[in-house]
Amino acid sequence: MFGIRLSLVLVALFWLVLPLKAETRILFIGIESAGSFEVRMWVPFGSVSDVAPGTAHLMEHLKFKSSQEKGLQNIQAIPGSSENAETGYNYTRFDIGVTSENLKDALLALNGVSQPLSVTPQQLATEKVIVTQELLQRTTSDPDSPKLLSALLELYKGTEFERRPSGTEDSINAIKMEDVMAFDAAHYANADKFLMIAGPPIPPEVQKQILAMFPGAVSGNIHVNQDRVATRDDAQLVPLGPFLKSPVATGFADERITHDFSSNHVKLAKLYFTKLVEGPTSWNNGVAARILQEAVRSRLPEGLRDHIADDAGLVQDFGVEIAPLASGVWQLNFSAGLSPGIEPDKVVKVFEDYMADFAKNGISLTSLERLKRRHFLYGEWEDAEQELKNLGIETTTFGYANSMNGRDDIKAVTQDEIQKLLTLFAGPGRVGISVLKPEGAQ
Amino acid sequence: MKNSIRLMISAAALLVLAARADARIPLESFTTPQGHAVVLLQDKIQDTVAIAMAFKCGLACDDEKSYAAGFLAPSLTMDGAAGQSGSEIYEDFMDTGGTLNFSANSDETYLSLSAPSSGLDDAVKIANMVLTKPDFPENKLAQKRDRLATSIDENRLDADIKAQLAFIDASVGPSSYDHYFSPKAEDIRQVTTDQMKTWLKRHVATDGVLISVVGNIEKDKAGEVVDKLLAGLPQKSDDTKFPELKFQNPKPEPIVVQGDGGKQVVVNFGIIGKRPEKLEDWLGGSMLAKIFASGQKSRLFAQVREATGQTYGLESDFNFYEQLGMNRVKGRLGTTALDQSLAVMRKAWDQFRVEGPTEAEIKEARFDMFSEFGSVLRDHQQAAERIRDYLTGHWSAEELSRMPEIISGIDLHDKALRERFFTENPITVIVQ
Repeated sequence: MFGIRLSLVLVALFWLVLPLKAETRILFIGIESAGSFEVRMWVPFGSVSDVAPGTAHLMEHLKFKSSQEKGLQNIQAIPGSSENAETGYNYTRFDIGVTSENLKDALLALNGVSQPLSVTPQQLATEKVIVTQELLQRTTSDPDSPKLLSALLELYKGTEFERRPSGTEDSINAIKMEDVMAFDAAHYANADKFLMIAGPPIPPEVQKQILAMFPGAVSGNIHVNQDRVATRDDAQLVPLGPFLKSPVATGFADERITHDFSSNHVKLAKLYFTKLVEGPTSWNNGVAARILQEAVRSRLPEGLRDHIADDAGLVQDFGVEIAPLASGVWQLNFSAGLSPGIEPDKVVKVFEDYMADFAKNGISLTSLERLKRRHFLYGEWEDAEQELKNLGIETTTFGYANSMNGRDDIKAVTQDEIQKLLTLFAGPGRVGISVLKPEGAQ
Repeated sequence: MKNSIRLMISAAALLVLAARADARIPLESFTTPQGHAVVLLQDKIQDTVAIAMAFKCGLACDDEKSYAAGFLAPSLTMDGAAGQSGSEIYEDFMDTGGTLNFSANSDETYLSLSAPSSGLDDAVKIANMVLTKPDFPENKLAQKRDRLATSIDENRLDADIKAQLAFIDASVGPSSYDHYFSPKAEDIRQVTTDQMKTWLKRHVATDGVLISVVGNIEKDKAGEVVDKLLAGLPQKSDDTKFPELKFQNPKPEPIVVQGDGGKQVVVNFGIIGKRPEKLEDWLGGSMLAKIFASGQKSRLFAQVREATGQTYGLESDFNFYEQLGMNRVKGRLGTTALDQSLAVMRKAWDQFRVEGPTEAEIKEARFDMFSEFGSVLRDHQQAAERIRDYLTGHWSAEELSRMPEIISGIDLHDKALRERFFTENPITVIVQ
């Protein structure tokens, strides 16, 4: 008991002496035809900041319960509002959807996350139960997910990714009031914030008023063309992701980690192949990776589908994903359902041979141009990259370039850039291979 | 001035319009030169066009021998037609920038095509080719048969599917809806290419097809592309009818189904009934269902979390087919204090049935309805599919045009409306 009191006193002292140097950056995304606002706010810490595993995620929940006058707990009462949140390794994100007249309330609530947490022991206990239910729900939705997750975490060993962002049932149960208060003081109290406000264009004078709510804030603007699809969901097309430093995940040894699991929930064996390689990640090669992913997936001459069906037999529902895991680290995922009698090792070999051949031969100019042309059919975002750079936001990490499909960025992708990525993936890296077999199958 | 006009005719502006009770959605009905009835919504904010069709009758109209072909035929049409391979068709279609979705559900067979205006003619041409001259490749059929049959076997192990089947079975017992909800893997494994061709001819026929077109397209052009899309299809489908359902009184006690025995159970909770005939009843029921159990702001979710904390997901499923309808809550509950959580759910249902929604909840529900409506209307494909779905409810374009007025005017305090969708004896299914 004395320990709790002492912690609370220390937390209070911490608040009093804390220098207020938090930075806020605001990106206004003006969408001509939007009817409401989607506000997203990232703070640059997540589960890698946990001392007690699961604290960052629990904090994300508790911020919606904290009893400030103008806090997130008030959002639910606003008609037509919606709210959501997500805790990642190195960020926590809060989303609020509101109409124009309630934009101010949304911004006040988001700014309020830096106010000291104020929850009762009962609220903490209840939220721990709910967070545990959230954890369990993922398991019951896919009973095999814990096995596959454990294999993936082993692949990440030695890096900040090796710990589950949401903690475990036991670790959540063990979190105490002093843990959350300490986390609050250490991170939320003086949190840098990045806000993205997507909705109808906001006049300059109103933007000034918004900036005044966040002393010292800097802002930028992106205008979305009228002829582009412009909905409230547009905001969700902009996964700016971690806007400060990504976790540094390097030192992946060139090794293979294999797992064979059995499951009574599948009738068809499933293969999961993951390869981690270290290499430069940038805005442009993010777009290039997107195009390469489509080339690998599609039925273009270089495409995998027919190749693997011919060489490895019947493989079903395969998927390929190529994306940065963090700055400087790429992750290549390949998954497939295996028909009876098809050996996983053979499919892995065919896939790796295919990637090696692709790296050796490269992508033809015709195929690259065809893939680019398809991407042109989607919308464009003008000046987005420059605006984000002006705001000091790192655009070299995951998510952003993958989704933006800017016309100029796509045009800029060259055979050489694709080749560099192919060479990277054909080279050394840490490979994880997990096979999930129906129970009783050989 | 031009911009103002443009804004007025844009679908985006419909959100604003829709919030006004006297607003109308500018739907237009017309008949194509080939005699097909079309509902058109012109919108120029995106330079795309979407066409959505519902061919009358789906898997619930098929007999035991023919329904399985309906699971395979739509998804295989792009794999070969008119002597062209699947790769050739796929490549050509991708170059139009279009998307084509073709599937069968219990009540209808759906086709949805969208494309940039510049690629529309080519996309329609390819879609017509695959519909009228299918060459189902035997090797692809063998692959898809095997894949689908395996996934059906896997689905039978899925706790959510187990719950849904038990939920339906409790109210209607075995029915032709089982074709859709509970297909048999052995039936799928026996499908032949001839059966698929027969199935297509029977279902994809122009008689009674419901059509909506949304996008940057003039009426004459819309008529022209619809005629091209349907050219060469049979004019008369077989006389397909839905077998009569026999509703039975569900038992009051929870139905317990064996699952994996984990720390959470899957729960299905609610009622099954017939689809409302009036559009306002359907919309009203939908709004009540949302108030009760949709999302984290719903009263059911809040009450269970407040009482036991033993849930992270309870969602409303308000879904009405031709004959079979559901106002269902589905989700997961922790096994700790399960009886208490179930009692809270039942109490919340009874309380809602008796007391109805509050003014604040009604205001929120209307707002959400307008907001969702506006959001859907901004996306051509979503809008075309939503209008098509409403047409399957046998509601006219004139009625659909008045939806803003209807939504504004629905009396959600109406006891009869509430009692229709929140009956005294909800079904409870638990998979544990």
